[in-house]
Amino acid sequence: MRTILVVEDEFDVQQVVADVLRDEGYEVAVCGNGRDALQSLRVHRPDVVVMDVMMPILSGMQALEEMRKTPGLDGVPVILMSETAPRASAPRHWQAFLKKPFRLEQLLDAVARVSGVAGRA
Amino acid sequence: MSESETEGTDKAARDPRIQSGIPRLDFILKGGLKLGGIYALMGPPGSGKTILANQLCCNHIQKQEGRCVYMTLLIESHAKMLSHLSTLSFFKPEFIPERLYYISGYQQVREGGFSGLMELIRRTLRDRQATFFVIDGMESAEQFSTSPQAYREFVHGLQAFTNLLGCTTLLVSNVRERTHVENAVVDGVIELSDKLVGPRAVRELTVHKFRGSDYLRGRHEVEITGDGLAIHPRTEIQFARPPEQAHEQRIRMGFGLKRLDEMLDGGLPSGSTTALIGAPGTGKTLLGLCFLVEGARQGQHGTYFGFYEPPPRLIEKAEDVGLPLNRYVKDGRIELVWQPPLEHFMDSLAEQLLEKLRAEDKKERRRLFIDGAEGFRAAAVYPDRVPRFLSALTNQLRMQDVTTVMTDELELFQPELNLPTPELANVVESVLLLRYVELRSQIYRLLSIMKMRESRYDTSLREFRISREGIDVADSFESAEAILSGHGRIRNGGKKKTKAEKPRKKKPGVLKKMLGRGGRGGGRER
Repeated sequence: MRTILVVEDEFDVQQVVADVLRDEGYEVAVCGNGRDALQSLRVHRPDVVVMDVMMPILSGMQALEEMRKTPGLDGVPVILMSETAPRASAPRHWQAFLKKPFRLEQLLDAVARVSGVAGRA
Repeated sequence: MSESETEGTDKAARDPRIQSGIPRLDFILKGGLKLGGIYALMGPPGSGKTILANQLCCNHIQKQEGRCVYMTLLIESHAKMLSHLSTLSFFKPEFIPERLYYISGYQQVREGGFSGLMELIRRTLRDRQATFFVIDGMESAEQFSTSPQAYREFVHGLQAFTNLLGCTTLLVSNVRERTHVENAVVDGVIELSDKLVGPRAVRELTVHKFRGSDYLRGRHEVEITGDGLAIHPRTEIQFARPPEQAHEQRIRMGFGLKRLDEMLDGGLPSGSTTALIGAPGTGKTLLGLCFLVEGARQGQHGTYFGFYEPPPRLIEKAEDVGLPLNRYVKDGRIELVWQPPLEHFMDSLAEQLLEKLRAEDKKERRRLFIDGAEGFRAAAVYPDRVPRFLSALTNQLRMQDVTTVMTDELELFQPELNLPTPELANVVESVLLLRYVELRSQIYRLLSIMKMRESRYDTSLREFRISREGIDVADSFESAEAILSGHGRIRNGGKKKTKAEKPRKKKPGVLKKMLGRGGRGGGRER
């Protein structure tokens, strides 16, 4: 079973993304900020990280940069999500970007593509 | 590295609407409900919530090829609800179950709480590929909530999920406080009310909140007909910025009565509104019909919009004094629109009238005779709205370049001239007054022009005659002067009254003030 880490500070979005991914058969863990995500990643390496950009304590972008510098985490695929598109000058360490509000199909397609699964997990 | 599939969407694409298909609701919402938005619909039993919610579903399926899920959280059976709905024209049983799917969530929320209910919703909406979702009976869900916080989280979660699906959602409940937790969370709050105003039962719709968009505030009258709900936005806010433009070139629109047209310097200015006031029987209706017949004779289209006399009576009355009304009605030059003496809604009447006029050729000069303002007043649930309503209506008619004559009735026995709607005299360009005088056991009619904005007019009083030979206005003021200089008196005037009989002292009416200004000979008012 494919595992996903959902990193999102907005509780309702975190829950709904996690719920629909579980409904699809993924195993899902959740975190509320970038720092907690890094701690979790050091213990359990998921197949995909679905991460919000704007979060308290450590932003998604900062957490992503940290991941890319960390051996073992540098290869974990990341799907970023945000209300605004990232700056063009920002290093593109992510595998897919979802602009909020996005639709369910867009989320599922991105997760399936990035995790290398065609269809359900 | 793959790129985003959602980048680059512009604002318009992020804010698409779903049109309700309910007459004028989209106008109130400035385009409809937002796609993927979540809305609260509240109201007491009998206010039309279930009809509105089902009408939204059926219209969504029919007009947008959508798919709907209607979930009830009440113990009431679906069969009963569907049986009631089957009498309404919008309801199409053939939509069930493929496109319109009814389920109950009562057992799920009762046994599994919000997580159980949420799971059912997720599964059902995805399986049915729903684009419109209704939960009817949210107060029932709230009863199973362990805390207000849990309920808030449920609504938040529902909002996040339906937004992710792009599924527009309606949460239906009984009346709640405006500050209820649900109303704070949702994108919009619509309230239906049902109350008694005097002997009348009045349903109204109010939008309390609509995130990210303008909307028409305040209460709007609602009718439930065999076609479902029809909403009538308040006329005075509907036409805050009328879009139509009048013809630049003004012409005169006569009555076909030589002497009266001379007094009016050729006729009423096109695109203007005239109040034709007088006591019952003074000849207002016949004079208004003269105005239409003369227009028809010149090839102009005319509409009679009346409340008192049905078309056959009107035709008979006109033909009786030699007015060939029937001929022009038959050839379609004059249309008689009669409102039977039932309970009407003032805004609905205005909509009917304006929609009829809009449907006609805009290039043509048109005449309209409204008989009369009292019909609108009688339909008003809130009488204090009438002056603003009449102002908005006449303004809209002006913008459509319709030349309007509207009667307003004075009391039959009244020593002073007081308009029932004094403000009417301010919103119209011209005022014509018809009245009675008695002289030696004979009743005479007098006509005078009280006001004519931006135009020359004859301020003299003229005798106005109605006979089998036709309608006629005397060619000078002398006959009127003769009548008045005899022992002419107001019908109930003349004799001294006892203290008890004396009428309540009133402030001088608008007309009285105007009469004070008038003088013999040519006048010009600015």
